Amino acid sequence: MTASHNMNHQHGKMKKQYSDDRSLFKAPPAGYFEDLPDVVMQRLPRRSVKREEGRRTVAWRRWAPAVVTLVLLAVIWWVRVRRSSSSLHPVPQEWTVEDEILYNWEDDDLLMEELASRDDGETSYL
Amino acid sequence: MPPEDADLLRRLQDPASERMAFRELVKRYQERLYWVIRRLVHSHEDTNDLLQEVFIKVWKGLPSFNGRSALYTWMYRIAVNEALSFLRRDKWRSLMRLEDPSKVMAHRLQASIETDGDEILQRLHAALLQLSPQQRAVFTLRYFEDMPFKEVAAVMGKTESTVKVHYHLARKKIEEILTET
Repeated sequence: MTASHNMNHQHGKMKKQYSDDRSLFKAPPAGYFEDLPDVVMQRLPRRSVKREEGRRTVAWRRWAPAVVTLVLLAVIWWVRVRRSSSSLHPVPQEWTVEDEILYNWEDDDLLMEELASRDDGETSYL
Repeated sequence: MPPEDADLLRRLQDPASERMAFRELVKRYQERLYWVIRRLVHSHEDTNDLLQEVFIKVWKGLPSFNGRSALYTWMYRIAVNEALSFLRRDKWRSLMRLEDPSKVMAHRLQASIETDGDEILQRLHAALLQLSPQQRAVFTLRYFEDMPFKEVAAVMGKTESTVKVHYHLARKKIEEILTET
């Protein structure tokens, strides 16, 4: 009887016969399973402080993407607000006395000089 | 989760008893995990390296183990993932050396089995080399470990229907190969 026949029609029988395939492989060295727990235990890293550090690292990794995204969104929002506010109050192309008053009202000396240089009586509105 | 595993897990989560409990865990599962890995990578030396890595990963992962799956399902998952990662790395290493990965695996299998071993088993394992690593893993868990499909799915991180398809395709391909030879 071939293996394929077994696979096809006698799966249960084949399971019993071939599912334990350990004897096919060369056995691990004698005493391997007796020694392995000691080998593994010697290789284990210590916990103590690292456990806390590990938790902090995990928490940081969990929050970092959200924090970075929020900061980026805040920067984008700020840049957009700055741009839109400057477009609402554009610098005039032709500089008039009214513009001077509006934009340089803090610089009184400059303004007074400008107005004094005019002798057409338009300064009366001050 | 089996009651003995629940008790072990409780002791593993207590810093006062965790090392002693972990030694017990290694003793309890070393042989089962050894054979799952050995069937996939064949060589004892590679299996030994991977098995030690699996236990170290289990130790590191225990503080964050949430207990949603059974302890042994979680460890099987780590073991299968380690073995599959090894096979991927090994395939690339073979390709970099301009060798045929399937021939390398066949050679390694021949070197790892008893020359006077059961002939059908030899042919079965040779046929398994023709499958994808995922299919081999599913077949190994289902056929050799006699694991229910639900647990195979949990170990592989796939749905039950996906692993059933994998197993069905694996069996079909093995049947074809064994019929040809």
